[in-house]
Amino acid sequence: MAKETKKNPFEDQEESNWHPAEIRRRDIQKLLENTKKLAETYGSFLEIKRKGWEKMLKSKQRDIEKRLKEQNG
Amino acid sequence: MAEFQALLRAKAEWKPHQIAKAGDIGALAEAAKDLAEVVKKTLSLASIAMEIVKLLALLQSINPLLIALEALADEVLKQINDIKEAGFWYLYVDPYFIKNVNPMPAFSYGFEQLRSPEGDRLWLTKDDFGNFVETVDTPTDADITAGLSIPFLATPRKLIPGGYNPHAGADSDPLAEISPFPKFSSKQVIEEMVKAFEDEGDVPRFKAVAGAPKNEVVVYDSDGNSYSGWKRGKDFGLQLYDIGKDQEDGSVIKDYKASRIPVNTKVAMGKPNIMGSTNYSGGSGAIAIIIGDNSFDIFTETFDKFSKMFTDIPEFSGAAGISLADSFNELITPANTIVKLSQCDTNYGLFTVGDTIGGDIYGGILEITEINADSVIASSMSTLKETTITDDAGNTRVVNVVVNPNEDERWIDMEITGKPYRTVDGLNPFITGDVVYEMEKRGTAGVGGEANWVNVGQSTVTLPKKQRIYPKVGKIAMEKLAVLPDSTPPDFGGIQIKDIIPGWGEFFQILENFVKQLKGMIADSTIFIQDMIDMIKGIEAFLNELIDLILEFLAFFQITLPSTGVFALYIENQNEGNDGLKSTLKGATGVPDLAYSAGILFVGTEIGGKNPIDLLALVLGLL
Repeated sequence: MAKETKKNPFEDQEESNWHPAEIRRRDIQKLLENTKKLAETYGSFLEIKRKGWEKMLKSKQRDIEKRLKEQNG
Repeated sequence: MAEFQALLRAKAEWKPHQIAKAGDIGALAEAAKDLAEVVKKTLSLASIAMEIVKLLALLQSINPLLIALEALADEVLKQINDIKEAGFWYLYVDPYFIKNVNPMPAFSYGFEQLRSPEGDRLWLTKDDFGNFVETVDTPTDADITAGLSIPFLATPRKLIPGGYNPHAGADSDPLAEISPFPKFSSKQVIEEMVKAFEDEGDVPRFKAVAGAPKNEVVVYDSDGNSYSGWKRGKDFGLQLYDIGKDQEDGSVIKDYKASRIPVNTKVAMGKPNIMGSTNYSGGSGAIAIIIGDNSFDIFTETFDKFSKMFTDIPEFSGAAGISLADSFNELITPANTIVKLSQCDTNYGLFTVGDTIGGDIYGGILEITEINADSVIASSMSTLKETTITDDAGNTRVVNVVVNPNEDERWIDMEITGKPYRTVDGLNPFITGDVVYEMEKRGTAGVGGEANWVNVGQSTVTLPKKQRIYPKVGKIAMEKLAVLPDSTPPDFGGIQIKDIIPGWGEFFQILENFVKQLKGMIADSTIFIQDMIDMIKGIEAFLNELIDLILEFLAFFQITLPSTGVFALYIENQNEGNDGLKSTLKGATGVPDLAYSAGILFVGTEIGGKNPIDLLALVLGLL
């Protein structure tokens, strides 16, 4: 997400006065961004795990085939 | 009377608030928390599962990922914890939707002034010979005072909203400024906010709970300080507890907080306070937001966006799904009305579909959409006529005989169905006996640009008979309401945010299933590798879907409320308590006087050297 460059409207104020303001919900944005990141990273983690299991499954299948070959001559 | 009492009751009240706690936003935060917790739990089990199947080499390669995941899950949990710990008071000032303050009608009555076909006001101004001549040029107030110009008023005189008011000056056309939407200005919103600090009775109130100790028993506050004078029937200003248990399971109670029971419960939040004291001198800060504009359309549009962004504020969660403008449109679009007319004079023409008619005295206006053909019959009229009769003997006698003055069927009855127009002073009814005239447009009335309806030929009333234009005319015999038309969705209050934001409902459904799946996966993973692979594939697909949904939400929450129509005042933490906030609110300048406004004021009190208002300012993009 692009970094915000919005100027703080309250930065130069000497006393508290009303200002036109661009209201946003950074808390919800941040929460969604973090949840998204969590889901993405968890996805990568699962991918590695899946590949590992697939590798293991293949090697097990190879072992079985090898054993069958040996048994059958 | 009931309406008047409702007006007296209308009052903006302080309420407690924790951001991201309530409504759909609160549900979203809960769901994110669930996800983070499940991920954390899964991580600790992941390494065990892999050790079992001797995938240690693989485990080494994913260790950094596990650490990153753990950190991310912690971050999500911490963020949720942070935003939920911050508590505020909020005061919501809403003259339109919740209506906790009373807006003022946006018009005043005056004498109906004649208008040109373009809608300009007509004036009579003296020419060089001293004769009054009709003109659309607005005279100066000095000319009017000197008698050189006078408003060309309708004959007979009639009081209408936006009519001529001799005390208001001639400069601006009052009809152009009236509005069907009552006004509540930005200044009034600020006044309400200031007033809320001044309400002496607006203090926290706690009522005794069922089973509370009897009167005069010593009770305790949250810090364990004792209080005498406890009475079950009286309200108190702070949360009180009983002494708690002496022992539990034979052991001495160590935590008195855990063993005590509240003896009363909060029934009113009261204005911002510290430990029940509203006259505190400690640190307090505030954020005031005003949504306002001089255009009702812009105001409602901004208000809608604002309410969707703050569905964690209960008042807004109910409002989601229907715009303020929609609810007003619903009000100003009344049901069709059936009016029975009598004595419609054929000499001036009969009403036809498309005509607009208006009640002369009571001001009801409607456009005829249908005429019941079977109902068009000659008006039944009878009168007594004095006549002299002579008998065979030549004696005369005066008798009254019944005659039908409508033998030539000049006057006709008819039943019409029409679409009533709501004028700025409300939906005026058609009262039996009122005379209705055909109406025509003369310019527009008010900020909404609605047509201004006047009687046909109104400006010719004072002219000689030959030059007069006569409107079609009839009399009201009866009015009855037609069956209400089917409402067009979305119905008021019948829609939730999950229905209007794409994917919202789906999000929570999928997340729930996801949590279940993860739990299942852990139990089965060591048994069936193929099942494990399939399940991981399923979860991967889910995560991709989840990411897509989050992107949609992000797009929604990345909307920033435009600065047009939104004004904010950030009062940083100061040490003069409520009085300091009140005087800053009173003295702050910079907000124009906007015709249609609503506002919300958040107040935070300092806790342990920190004021949660700073966090809110950051969240809302004010810092």
